[in-house]
Amino acid sequence: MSPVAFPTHRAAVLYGPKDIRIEDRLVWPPQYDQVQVAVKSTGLCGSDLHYYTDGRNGDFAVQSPLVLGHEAAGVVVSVGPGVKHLVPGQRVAIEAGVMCRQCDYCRSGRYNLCKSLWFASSAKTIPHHDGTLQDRMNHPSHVLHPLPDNCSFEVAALAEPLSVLIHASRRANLQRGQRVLVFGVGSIGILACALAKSYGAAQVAAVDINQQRLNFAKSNGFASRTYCLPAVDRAKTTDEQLRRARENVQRVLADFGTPDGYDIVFECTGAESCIQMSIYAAVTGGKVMLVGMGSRNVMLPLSAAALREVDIQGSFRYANTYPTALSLLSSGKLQNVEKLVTHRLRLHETARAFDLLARGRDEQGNMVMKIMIAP
Amino acid sequence: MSDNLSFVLKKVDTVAFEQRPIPDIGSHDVLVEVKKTGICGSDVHYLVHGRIGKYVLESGKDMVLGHESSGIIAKVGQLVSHLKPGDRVAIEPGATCRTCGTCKEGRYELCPNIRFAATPPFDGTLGRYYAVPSDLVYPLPSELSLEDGAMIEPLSVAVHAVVRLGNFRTNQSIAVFGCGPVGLLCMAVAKAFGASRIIAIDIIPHRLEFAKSYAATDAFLPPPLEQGETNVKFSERAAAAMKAVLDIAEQGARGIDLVVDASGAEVSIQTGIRIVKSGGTYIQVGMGRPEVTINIDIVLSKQLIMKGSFRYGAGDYPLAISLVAQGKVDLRPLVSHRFPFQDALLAFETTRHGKGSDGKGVIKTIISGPDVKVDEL
Repeated sequence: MSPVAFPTHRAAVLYGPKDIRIEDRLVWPPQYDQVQVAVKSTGLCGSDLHYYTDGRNGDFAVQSPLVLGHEAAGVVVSVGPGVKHLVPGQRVAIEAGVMCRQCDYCRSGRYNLCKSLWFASSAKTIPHHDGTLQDRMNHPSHVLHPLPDNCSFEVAALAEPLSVLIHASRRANLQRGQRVLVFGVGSIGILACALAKSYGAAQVAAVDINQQRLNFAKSNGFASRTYCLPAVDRAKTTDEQLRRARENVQRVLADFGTPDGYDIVFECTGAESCIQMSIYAAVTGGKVMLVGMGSRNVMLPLSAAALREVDIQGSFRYANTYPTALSLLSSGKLQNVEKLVTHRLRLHETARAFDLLARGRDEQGNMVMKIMIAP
Repeated sequence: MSDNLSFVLKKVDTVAFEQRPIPDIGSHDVLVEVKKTGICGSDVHYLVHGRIGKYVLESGKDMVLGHESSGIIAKVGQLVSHLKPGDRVAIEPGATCRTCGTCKEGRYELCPNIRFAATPPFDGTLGRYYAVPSDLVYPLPSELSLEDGAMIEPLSVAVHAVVRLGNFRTNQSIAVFGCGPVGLLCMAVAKAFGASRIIAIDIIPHRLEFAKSYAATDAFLPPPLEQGETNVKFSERAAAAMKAVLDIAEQGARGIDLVVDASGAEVSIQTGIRIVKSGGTYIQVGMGRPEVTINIDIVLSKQLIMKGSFRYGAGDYPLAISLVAQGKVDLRPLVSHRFPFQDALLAFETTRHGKGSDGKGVIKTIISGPDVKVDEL
């Protein structure tokens, strides 16, 4: 057996907390209904970061070596038997969640809730399915999406986080002319602002505890109004928590000139205090969309929501969003969205990239938003 | 058994009994031994005309007929764990691609790549065996007979029209044009959903009488068409008569919330949009002539919601089975004629003529599978 017959590629593999090793792995041919993609760009996400720093993401601990990364795009290099709609050379975005297409959720169009869903780069299912932080990836053909010609791999990789927002916006029934407030302007919050603006929101406002991020949001036109809340220690009692939440919201709404509040509040932090503030910041009859993941068990001023018919909705990943996301990204309607990519590193620097993401600031003191990894 | 005796349409008005190879099944499929099959107007249409619209049985090609079936699982694919041989099931006879946007969105009934039984070029269920994806067979609760199982298909058409697309709610009122099986089942579904009023319309008196005894609260026999009267003029007259006789109003409590046309007849469609209330919903489920004249000004000024209803989709079969299992819909009165497999052609002829040799009007004809006794329900 000649070693020339077995091509290899590199993968960034997580062996434990803060332990990423760049390995040479064999390139396996794509199986039935699979396509092999040469990954060109992977964006790093907070959930990837959790796996890197803790070896787990909430309940899901990494059980075996796992390749991270799920916000990606690349080029088809070979197709397995049975694949008719993709050809080598085709540029595609990779949808990491693979549904069964048989269960009731899949058949009724809610495949993000599929009972047998597996997600590349997640430790939720066993065996784990490797993510996109590798040179070559075999992936089911039915979740690969052709890119418009004018869409770069980096921008296409943003289709994943944008999909999260498109799904949340559909669940929120976001309409033209509404007033939208975003708590937390990391990548997800910025995309929430951009999407709301593209929908024709009458006003897009953003709140954070990080002035740099808020400046980024304002200067690039994502939000027309911003407010920086002080980062303070947690309140000691429930009453104190809620009092602060109410007062903060009053101040913010007064500053924004929208005393009635916002039709849709995208909560993109997962922080308890922000979830509480979201309820107070919504108009009577408005909606709070919980997009951020963080606190699991949260104390809510429930009557402030229920008695004002403020609906609190969750949102989990996305379904049927990739074509819309790619179309939107290549249309130019999300102005400055490419500015979200603040740092670029190579696959062999993956560990450094995660360290950078964890710090939130680079050596020059610049803020880190989205880091893109190229081969 | 190693044979797969099938009832095949060779060309217009020509059928034959043939052995066909037993289909192979994939890892997610099941092989069903078909026990009972109902005949639908569309099956008869293919026999008589060899086509429906753009679906044509090409010359030189043939096709097994039948699509309203129930049976017993004979074999399951490797990855099927929720079913086993011997299970009694109702069959949803349309395998879709699951990868197109339409399927992924949950509107799989509109999948452009659907392989629907007895729609050319795909074989139907009138054979000993039929292969189908495992999520498209539904276990029958013990309350349902195999004949009930075969009737789940047309019942699902009714569920799709009335519940899914018609958004029918408790205490609403409905008018159904056409008292064939689909019309009758639309009325049954409306009744199961707590309709305050169910109006049946047909031009054949004995069908109307049956509808009244089955599910309708009111029955209306339209006046005959007068010499030289256009369909539009007739529909004005018929609608006025209906409103007077049945005390129907344009709005409010005496308004008709939902009109379902299960006839496909131009005059029914024209009358239907006149009697539905302002802001109401009109569902077209009956298939008739493709080109129809309607008063679109009525659709406009009454802000009607007009929808087409095609077959059935996500959630319809389970709801249909549940309604029958709970006793909210009774399918038994609709089976008017039964035939053994070898008399399949006679079954089709009977359905076509609308009357059996016993003189009884046809509602639903059931053909038993090969070697299945007719009275084995």
